[in-house]
Amino acid sequence: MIVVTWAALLVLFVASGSIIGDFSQGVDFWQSIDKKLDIETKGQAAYAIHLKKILPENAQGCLYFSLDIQTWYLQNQLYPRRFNVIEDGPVIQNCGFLISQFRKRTNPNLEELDNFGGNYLYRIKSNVF
Amino acid sequence: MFFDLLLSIFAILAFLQTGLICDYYMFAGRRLRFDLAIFLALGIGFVAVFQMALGFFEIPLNRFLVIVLTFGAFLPYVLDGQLRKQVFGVLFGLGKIINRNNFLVILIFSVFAIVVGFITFSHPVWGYDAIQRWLAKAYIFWVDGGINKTNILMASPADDPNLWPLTASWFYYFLGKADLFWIQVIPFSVLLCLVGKFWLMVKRGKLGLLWLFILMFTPFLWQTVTLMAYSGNADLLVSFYLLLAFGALFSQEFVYAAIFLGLGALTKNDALPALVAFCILMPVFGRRSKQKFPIVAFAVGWGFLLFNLGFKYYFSLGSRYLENDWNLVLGKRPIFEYTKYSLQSFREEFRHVDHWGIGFLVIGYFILSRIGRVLKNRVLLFGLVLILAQIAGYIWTYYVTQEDQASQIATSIYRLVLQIYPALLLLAFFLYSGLPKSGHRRE
Repeated sequence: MIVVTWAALLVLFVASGSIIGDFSQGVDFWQSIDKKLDIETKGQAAYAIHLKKILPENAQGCLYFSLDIQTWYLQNQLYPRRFNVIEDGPVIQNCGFLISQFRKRTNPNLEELDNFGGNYLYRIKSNVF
Repeated sequence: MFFDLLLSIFAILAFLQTGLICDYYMFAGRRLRFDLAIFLALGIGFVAVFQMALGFFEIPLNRFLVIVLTFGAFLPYVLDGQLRKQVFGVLFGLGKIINRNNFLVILIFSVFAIVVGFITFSHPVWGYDAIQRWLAKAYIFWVDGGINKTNILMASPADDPNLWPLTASWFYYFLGKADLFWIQVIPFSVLLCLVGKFWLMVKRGKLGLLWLFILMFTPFLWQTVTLMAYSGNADLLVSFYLLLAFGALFSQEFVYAAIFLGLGALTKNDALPALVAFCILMPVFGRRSKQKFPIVAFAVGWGFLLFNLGFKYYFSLGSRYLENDWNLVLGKRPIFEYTKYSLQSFREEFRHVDHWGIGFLVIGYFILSRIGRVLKNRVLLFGLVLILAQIAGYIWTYYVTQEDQASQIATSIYRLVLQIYPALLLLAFFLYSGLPKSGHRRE
């Protein structure tokens, strides 16, 4: 009986500390859902909707790796459009379209097609479609 | 927003109703045994298996079909007067639950649900595993209208089972969109059902309320829902299925135990060892029973195992843990040292108070101090053997993993431990207060 009682009291003590700690997250509870998504995705939820409007469903290309989850999220949201995640580097010849999240690219081989909230869509000039 | 909330609640009701119909017609012999946790678990499982079966024939789903099928699950209320009478009888009697004996528990449970809900619905799902694996698959299945031989390989690793992604994609059909916010309704409901089911099993035992506290306030249990990094993962569902399986096992309802172990293994490969051990050891533990050998449970267990493996084989999913360079693994990795390191890591995790309180110390205390009772009771021993099979599976995975063992342990051990925690706590409770004398009691 003593073991069970002490365990219950201790878990209550630890849990109350954790709840108070996590409660700070609750400040966003009253925000709109779009705002919550916008905060966590750093604008990528809206960007994905935008890209789906301007890119055809059979579009293919590359997506520069930037912030970890934001990159995987955008790649997934663009399905059935196929965008391979690539690291920064000179080899971009096999990409059709090229997406760069949060960062403008200065490569002269890239033609800027779209800018949405600091996220860029490019086409590679040497490619023929 | 309000409409999405209504649709989300309707989706949960649809899972419950599907589970109710499965239980009533397939397992309970047309006798309603009202248990929301079992209905939710069966509903989610049935919907996932149904979609997997459609995947074999590449039959696509769409929103209209899903809604028609869901309304089909409510049809028995029109066609079956006996069911209607029983269900409405239970629903009209729900008010009687609130009485002086239950008031404190209902109050605490309600406050717990409100606080957990408040934190959970302050954010969308936002964790690596959820976004890159589980819900990525869900999105692909939703866009394509189900599983096919191409899309199942797209989200890596492909050999991850698909129960949770298929549940999420079914939910997306209801909502009409892939939503990272409202999808949290499912893990939230699973947590409430898990805690509620645990209460139903411990409430008649000694100090039942304190045992409930130990489980429901365990930080990492509810944080799996409230923290955005974990709320889209599949580990809580595995915990849920293992708890239900152990509850059924201790009540000697072996068919339910087989079903829930099977559904657990369809949720994550991590739960396969318990299912395999159940299938292999059932003749040993089942034969000593005074009752007839539970041949149906044995068949159901093997049925789930073969379905699981057959699905992987048909869709060429492979296995990242079996397709290994075994000469390299066996030649370069000293098995004793690796196992010792894994065991030490489990020991350290078990005493991680910020995650588990002293839940594991309680579990360890009761198992060690009452080991004689375990050895004398075949059902308790069977439960302990299944847990040991799980832990052996985790250690084997850490040995053969293609990743660095230490870094994989650091990023996953608490999630694995979560899977067995509620079931182990239930085992400790029954060691403390004794097994229920009669068969399964559902209230």
